[in-house]
Amino acid sequence: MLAFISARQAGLDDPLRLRRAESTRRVLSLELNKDRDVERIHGSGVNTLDIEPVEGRYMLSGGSDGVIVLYDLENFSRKPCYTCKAICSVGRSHPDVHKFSVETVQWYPRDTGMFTSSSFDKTLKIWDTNTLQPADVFNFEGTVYSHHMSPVATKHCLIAVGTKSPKVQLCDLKSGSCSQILQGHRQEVLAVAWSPRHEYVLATASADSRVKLWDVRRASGCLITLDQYNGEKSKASSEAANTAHNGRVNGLCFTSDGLHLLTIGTDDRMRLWNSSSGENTLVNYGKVCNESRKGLKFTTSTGCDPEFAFVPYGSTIAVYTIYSGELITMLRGHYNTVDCCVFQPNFQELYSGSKDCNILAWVPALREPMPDEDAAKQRLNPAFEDGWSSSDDEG
Amino acid sequence: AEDQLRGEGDDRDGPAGGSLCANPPVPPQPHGAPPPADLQHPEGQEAAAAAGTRPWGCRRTGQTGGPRGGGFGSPVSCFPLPSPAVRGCAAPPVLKHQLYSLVRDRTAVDRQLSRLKDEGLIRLFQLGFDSDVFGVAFTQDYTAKVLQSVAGKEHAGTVRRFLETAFASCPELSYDNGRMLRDFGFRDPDITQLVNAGVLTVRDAGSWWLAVPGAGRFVKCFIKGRKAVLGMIQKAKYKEILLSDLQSRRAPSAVKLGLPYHIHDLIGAQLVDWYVTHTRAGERTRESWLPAPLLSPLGLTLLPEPGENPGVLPHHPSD
Repeated sequence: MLAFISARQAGLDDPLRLRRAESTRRVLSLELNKDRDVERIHGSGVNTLDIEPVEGRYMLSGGSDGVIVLYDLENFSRKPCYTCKAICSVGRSHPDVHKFSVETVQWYPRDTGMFTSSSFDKTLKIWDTNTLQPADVFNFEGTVYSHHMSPVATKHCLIAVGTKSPKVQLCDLKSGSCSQILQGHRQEVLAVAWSPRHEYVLATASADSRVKLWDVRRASGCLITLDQYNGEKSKASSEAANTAHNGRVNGLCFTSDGLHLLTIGTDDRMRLWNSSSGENTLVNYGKVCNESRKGLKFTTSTGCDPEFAFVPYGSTIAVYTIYSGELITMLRGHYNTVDCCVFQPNFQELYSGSKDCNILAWVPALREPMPDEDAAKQRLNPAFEDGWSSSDDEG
Repeated sequence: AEDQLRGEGDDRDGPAGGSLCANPPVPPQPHGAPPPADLQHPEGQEAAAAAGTRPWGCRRTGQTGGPRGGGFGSPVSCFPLPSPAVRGCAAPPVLKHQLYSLVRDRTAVDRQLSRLKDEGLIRLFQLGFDSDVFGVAFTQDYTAKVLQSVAGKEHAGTVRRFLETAFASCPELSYDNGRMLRDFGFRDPDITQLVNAGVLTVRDAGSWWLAVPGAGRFVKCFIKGRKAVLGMIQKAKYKEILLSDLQSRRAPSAVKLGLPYHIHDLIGAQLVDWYVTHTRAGERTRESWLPAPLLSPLGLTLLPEPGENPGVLPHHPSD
């Protein structure tokens, strides 16, 4: 680390290099820390977590009982021992609380004044953070599995919603309508994700084993249906048999630069795709156990080299390097199935929520203090010390 | 890593007769990326070695693959051949996931197989019992086997036409109706004949996987053998067993394809956990197995991990 700092100081290294090296070192040393935890509010499993992208300070969590809680992650107490407090929550006594399990929460990408939540009670609610009242409610025919709002969009305010129906619905925040539909899937849509690189590109994953990439401006159909065998991409008719996985596709995550897409399916595989050509990069992560009947929310790191993917794996979290497929470690700490995890890029921390109603904070381990000279001397067994001294005073 | 792989090759010699060739002859490398430094058995080596040195159909026991329906060449004698008394389960095809147990880096295996497939040197085909399981064979071996098994039957002509046109020109795993009709002129009755011959098997409405004749008999032996070997591990105390122990045991009668074949299959398909343990003296002498119950996550480490773990389990981040 000192070498990196002095190279940066002397101008030998790019400033980014020090930052990447230190971020990567911190991510590799993630562990549970007794000084840091998150206040336990939920009475049932935590289904979803989201950290706001503006400051990385506030975190939302949605639970299986319909409760939504807002936490402050920042430590202003000047003590190392800190519990992330819940600032406010939409509890069971709130008149507009979701009736069933909340599946996805997401902050509004521009500021923390608003957040969205979708639930098994077939609604998508837009909440005003300051008053904790729903500003708008969208109703659907089937249970809502997932929703996502584009993090980079400036020209549109669409929320993509994946429901039990095979049609992906796009709700417009500006007009309040949800008339645009993307047709192409044959079974329920389990996960949706907007590309962090192009504001009009959307990826959707469905229980019919297909992952489709869409441009929402195009009315005629999807851009690409991902094919795990990298067959010929000649005509749309030959795409009918393309499957991304051999089972339901549960989770989608773009890498932070938007160039690659990770998908995870109930065939116990995770695949990495080139998001512009739709080609399977054939990175093999081995068996990634996945028994979830609904979506699996996994996440990737930002600002490290190599980039890591944090995937809930039973009651642990598996950490893989994305581009080489190596399993780095399994983070153990939860007592029950882990449902979701989210990465805080500013401090390289990972928060994970599980069915045991806990949210755990994984922080980078502190560096060991450098052993100094006195400590080294004290380790010497007194039986081996001799009484001879070389100092001049004693003669 | 290289030393460890070589050591493991020696460990895997079992009285069943299988032996891993630790130093296969140098092959033509697939052009493109050089093999990663830690690969001792890059795909090109095994593949080409099998092609060059072993005439397809000839076995160590001296029999040829003839009227029994033949089989595929085993790469560098990795898998011992079953006794001549076995009917219908002569030399088994190599499964793609068995390669994962020979080469550490799965991504490299997949990518090199894909490159070899695009160049037309090997073909991947479906066996029919799991959509994730593929058999790997050299193109010339595959064509010879198919022609041999359809010889004398009435659809031999269609099969030959298929092999010469569609099979030769597209190195794909599956064929769909539109392309077969448009590019190669195969109509529905022709495709039905191909399916009856066992060369194609149904994938979806209007598309078919490439398959191999006689796959059904092989799959039956294979599933029985796999269950038997897995049962041997599950019946052991604590559900774990040393690899050398397992290899020295007598295979039950249900295992017709040989123990090493199934061992590679179980490791590669991650149906068991495989890791290295150390004796008290600290030497790396043993390898143990812990079968992961089929539907639960990996990562059950019951034995301590002193020191390095080059195997399937991840290393501690503090290393």
